[in-house]
Amino acid sequence: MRVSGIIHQQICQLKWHLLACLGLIMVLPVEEAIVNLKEGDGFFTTAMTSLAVMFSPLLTGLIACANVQGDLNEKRYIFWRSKPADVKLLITLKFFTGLVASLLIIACPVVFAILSNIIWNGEGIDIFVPLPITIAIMTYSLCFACNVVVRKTARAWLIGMLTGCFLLVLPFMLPLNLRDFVSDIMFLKFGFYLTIILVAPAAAFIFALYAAKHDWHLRTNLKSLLWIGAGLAFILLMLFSSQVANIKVLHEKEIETSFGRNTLDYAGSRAVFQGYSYVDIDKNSISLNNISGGPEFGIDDNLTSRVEGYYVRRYPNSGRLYKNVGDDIYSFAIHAYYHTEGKGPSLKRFYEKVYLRSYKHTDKSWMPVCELDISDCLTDNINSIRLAMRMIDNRLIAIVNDSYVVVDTTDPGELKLIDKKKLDALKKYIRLTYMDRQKEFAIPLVPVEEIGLEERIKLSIDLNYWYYGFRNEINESSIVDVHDGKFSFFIVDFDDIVRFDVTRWDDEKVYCKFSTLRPFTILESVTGHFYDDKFVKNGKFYCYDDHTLMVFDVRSNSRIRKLGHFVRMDYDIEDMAVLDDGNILLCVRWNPEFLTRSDEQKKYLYLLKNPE
Amino acid sequence: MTESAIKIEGLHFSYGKKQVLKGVDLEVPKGSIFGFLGRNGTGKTTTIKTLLGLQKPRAGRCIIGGLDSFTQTLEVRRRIGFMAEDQQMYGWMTISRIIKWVAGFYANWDYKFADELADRLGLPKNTKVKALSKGQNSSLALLLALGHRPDIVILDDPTLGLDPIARKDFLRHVIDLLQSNGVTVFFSSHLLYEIEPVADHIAILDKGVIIKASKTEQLRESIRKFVLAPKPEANFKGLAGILDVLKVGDNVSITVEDCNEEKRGKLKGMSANSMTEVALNLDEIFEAYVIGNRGRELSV
Amino acid sequence: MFGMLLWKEWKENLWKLWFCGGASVVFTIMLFRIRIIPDFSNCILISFIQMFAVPVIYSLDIFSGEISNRTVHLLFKIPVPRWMLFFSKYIVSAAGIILIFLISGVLMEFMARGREAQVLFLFATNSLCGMAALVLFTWFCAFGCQSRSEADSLVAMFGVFIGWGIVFFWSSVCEVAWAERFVPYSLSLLRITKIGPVLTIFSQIPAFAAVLIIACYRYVSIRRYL
Repeated sequence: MRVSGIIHQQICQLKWHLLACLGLIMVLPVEEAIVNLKEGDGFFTTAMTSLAVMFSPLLTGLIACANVQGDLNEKRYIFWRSKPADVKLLITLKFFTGLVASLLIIACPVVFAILSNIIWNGEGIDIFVPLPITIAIMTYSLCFACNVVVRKTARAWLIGMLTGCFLLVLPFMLPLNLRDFVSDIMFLKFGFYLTIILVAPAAAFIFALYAAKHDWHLRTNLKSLLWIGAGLAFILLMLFSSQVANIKVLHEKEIETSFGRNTLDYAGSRAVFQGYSYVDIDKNSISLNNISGGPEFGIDDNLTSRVEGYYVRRYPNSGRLYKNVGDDIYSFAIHAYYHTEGKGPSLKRFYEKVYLRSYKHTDKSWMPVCELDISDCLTDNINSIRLAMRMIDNRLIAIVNDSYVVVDTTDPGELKLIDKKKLDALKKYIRLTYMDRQKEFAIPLVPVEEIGLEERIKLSIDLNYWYYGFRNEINESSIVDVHDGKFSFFIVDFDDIVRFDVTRWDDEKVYCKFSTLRPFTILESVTGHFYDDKFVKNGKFYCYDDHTLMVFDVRSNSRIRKLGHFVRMDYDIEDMAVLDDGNILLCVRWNPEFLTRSDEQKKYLYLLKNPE
Repeated sequence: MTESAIKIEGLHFSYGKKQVLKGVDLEVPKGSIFGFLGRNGTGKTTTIKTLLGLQKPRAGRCIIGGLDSFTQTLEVRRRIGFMAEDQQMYGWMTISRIIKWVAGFYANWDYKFADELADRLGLPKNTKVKALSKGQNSSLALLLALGHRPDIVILDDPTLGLDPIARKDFLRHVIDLLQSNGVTVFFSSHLLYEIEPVADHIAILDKGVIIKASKTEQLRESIRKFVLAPKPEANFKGLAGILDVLKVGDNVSITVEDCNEEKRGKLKGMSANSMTEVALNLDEIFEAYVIGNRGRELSV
Repeated sequence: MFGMLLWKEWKENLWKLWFCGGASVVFTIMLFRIRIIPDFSNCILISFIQMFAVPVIYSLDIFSGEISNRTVHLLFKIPVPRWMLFFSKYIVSAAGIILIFLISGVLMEFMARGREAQVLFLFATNSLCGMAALVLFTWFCAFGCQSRSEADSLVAMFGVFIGWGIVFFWSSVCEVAWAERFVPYSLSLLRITKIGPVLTIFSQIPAFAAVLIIACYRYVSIRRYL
């Protein structure tokens, strides 16, 4: 067999298809260049090159089908099979001739863009060009292989393209670890994924060789093809939903929209919404029973105006720390007052006064009942402030910068200061890094003697992790799980959830060691990231960001096992609470800007089923 | 003169630059079984398509049953029955269903006749069309062509792909059903030995024109082959109507059309010894007309 | 006679209705129950996929199937005008497309129950995509009615998709509003773009009628490939 003769014949066979594909791929860049020329910017193309190249997988699929059909359609098949032709050589030459021709065609708009853009530095070309080209090679190979077996152009193209889509989408649908897909080496981003895209063409080529040699012929039927395709899409969707959307919504209740974030807190075992309603659940149905009438933030407005020229920073930021005493409900807050000097980047804050306040609910609103001046906690640094608070039994521990106070709240109307100390230990906080996974490390143990050791260890770990962050929820949650006398805590990192175990402790330190991790899957990474809000409750780890909530079981077999996932992409989760039965309450906000073209918002309370 | 069922006058047809029909003139007598013969690619199917009004000729016209096939195409299709070569039907329909469906398009569909025909052709009514054999498929196509009792039936290579027994069977049905009812059958094929026993008129199409059209019997009578040993001084060039001349050893075989006593006498005169006259079958006649050398080999 | 043709086309293409309708119902129910994206986004996703997929499935073998299965001889032999054959195919396909969009639109409204979008908003959006689908199908008919095989039909569809895509891009970028109105895709975007809806719909009607007539003419004038 004359190789050059075969190559020449293949090119002649394909010439009109190649020209048509060339025309199609160049249309948009040329159109853009003409539009730019008309606008007086010069004859060049940029964005449309990327768009044209992105469609190249479709075109290479067509070229592959045309390539095969030229010799393998049902009538011509008998012709060359009856000739002394080396099947493998023929198929190999066909494959590579078509592939090279396809790649040359794809290169045309890129070359045109580079040549026409004398000043363009090709920015973006490394992102938008290589990936479509690799996918184009994959679709070419798959369509080639399908056509060898199916021998009907349209159906083979459909099967090839669907197989390509399936291969591209499947890794996202399977619960594979993100780390397997992302390489630390920059240019090998999505390394494993890239491997799939490049291995598939090789496999398809080998398959095509064998199929042609052994005369494999798959008789297809359009109806069954479509049903199989739909079935596959259904399976993919099921895989998708099982990964990212499986916590059942028991009830959805629309609530009045209000300015600011809605909050859900605990008052004993009851959830409190916005500080003015109890959230009661009856037969999986949410009902709000008002405690008081006005929004609680009104209280702060009153407070800030009391001292002119001063601003207030409060803790908790959103929500409150509540306590039930008989039929009464009390809440606690820390208010730090400051004034400012300077403007813009040179603005400085000067904190002067810090108060610990308690409020009692009355018929109409929350009334302040007691105030404790804890301004002397501001010892060394008055330009910035960190605040935290936690109630343990009747002891309220309030932390201001590097000091803490312990207050007896047996009678919330009469706060009694029990202890006040400096917390030097807090200066030595450990910011956890990847290196901490390699060896044992120590966290300072806060010397709060008024609480038990277990609570001390928990508080130490929570403070270490949260205290220096932008927002901490030490008042209502913890990242520490205590089980059978063992302590573990959980961190959400960029691409995984990490568990650390407390190995030992002494009077000053708590020693911890990395235990296990649970990497995020690709879909989990896509649907959510930066899980700022997290806590452990009753052996489950909850983490949520704007529109995603994930729940993990952290006690079974020492590994972290996902129990449930909840996603609503256009919604923001403002706050959440876990009820005693494990059901979850979510406050969500939805801004249907797309629909209403306004700032109108809607807010909801969701009751989610306990994911077990 | 017998009235013509089909009349084609000066038909010209081209596919792009390639001229297929170059002035076809043809008359099909009413009530005859007309064999339309030609080699592959000579334009038989093209002629039939033009007859049905499926394509417009460059020049000429076709009158079928007194109707212009191009301007009155609907009416033509109502009046004639047509069976295409290798005609496929809707596989998902049962035989009874497809008969019923096609019948809906003909005001004069004879349901009783169609039923009888189905029984006679051995077609199982509740079977789906896709389950039929090739022979049964052809039978069904014939039934659909005849169910409305047309006066003219056009069959375009109807036995294509059938085995010899199935072909014989099919033709027998054609004869039985049609000949006795005075239906005009326009039959195109290149299996001449099949047409010969059934066709009473023949037309041969070659290179876009009709080179011979006549009654079959007349054709057989008028075309003869003479085998003789020619005298040295024999001059065949003066003999009109030579279709083919072949040298076989010392003998010469001459096929002559429009054979009469005069030509016989001339040939006998040129023969050195006895002369044998051979009657030709349609195959041989066709061969002589289409690939005969017209005496160009004459050098005796 | 026309009824017989309609019956035959309906029976032949019923599987497409089942397939498209069934897939549409299943995916609508799944997506609206999962609610990973809001109802309107689900509606747009389903409607857009349907807008392209349903006309493609209908046009893939509506005309070419007759030629590739060689039943065209039978069809052209029966004494009915060719335009009747064309319209029987077109009407059955159009009815199927409309029915699919109606079912999915009603189902979307039922699943959403006005919880995020106003009542009938989703139905209206879906219906606009249905109109676009019908227009696209008509264009497919015009280009693909003489196709001999599924491959030819697919090429014709590609041509329509890409051709209109180019016009749409050019008219959007260069802000040529009058051209944008004629693009079938514009119908589907009426709710979310600033193209005048009434003018768009009224611009589409004569274009649609013209394309339908051209498609019919092309089908009637088939002479080759028989």
